[in-house]
Amino acid sequence: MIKNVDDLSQFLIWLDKYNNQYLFSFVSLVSSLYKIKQLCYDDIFIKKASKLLFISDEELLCGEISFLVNTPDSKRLIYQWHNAKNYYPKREKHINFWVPIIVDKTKNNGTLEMAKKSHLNDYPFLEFQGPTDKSKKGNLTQNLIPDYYVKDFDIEKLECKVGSVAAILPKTVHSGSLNQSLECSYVLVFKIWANHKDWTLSSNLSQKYFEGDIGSGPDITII
Amino acid sequence: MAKINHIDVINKNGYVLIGNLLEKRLINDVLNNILPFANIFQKKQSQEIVYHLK
Repeated sequence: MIKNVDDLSQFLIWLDKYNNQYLFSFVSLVSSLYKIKQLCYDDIFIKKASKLLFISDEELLCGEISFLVNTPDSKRLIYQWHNAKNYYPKREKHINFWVPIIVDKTKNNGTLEMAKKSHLNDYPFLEFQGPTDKSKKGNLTQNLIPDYYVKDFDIEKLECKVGSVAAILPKTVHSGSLNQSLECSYVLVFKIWANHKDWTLSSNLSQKYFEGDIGSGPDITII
Repeated sequence: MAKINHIDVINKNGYVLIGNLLEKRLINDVLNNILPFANIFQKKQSQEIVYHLK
């Protein structure tokens, strides 16, 4: 019986070891819980994104929500240095919200590392799929920006209490980190975006170039 | 304490931490939704173990 936060953490640590595909299912299902959606689609995020992007509420779009669990001492699902721009190449204006829930994010429980002022550049990246378990089953797509491009930035490990959030620009380089505590930590991640500057009318947020974009013709205008 | 201008910070650093944005009620609602769901998931999953043992 899972009665509290400690029970939840112990169950997920066990589940990760027992069958990490089940853990993947769990986090995907939790992303669809109505209170999760209610939180992420609350007016407060729309209003904040509206202010940061200088675009009115009515013109903004809400992306899918990801619930991410960082289990102790597990490197399996940690994203290396990357930015949103390389995965969403046709999107110019969005805020990526990173929202710790259940427990505070601290410097040692698998928080986000940010490369300060890295949003001012574009970056090459290596796209590959890393195995997500020992049997090499499951893949985590990495768009890895090599260390060479990150080494000169000032790096901040975010400390963020539940109730506080980080808002991140598309080009900002960031990475996950190892959870060195004994308990799981958790975040919700989602985007609020505007398509004004996009070279597409596609509804597919991660629409790539050279992949038969049905929303892109010679009549598309940047506004 | 001076109020932080989130627009200035995000434009300067590429990101900004926004303190105390969310109401306690929203945060509690999330946990109170996850725990019962985790119980259902656990029950279903433990049933799966029974199938394996049979």
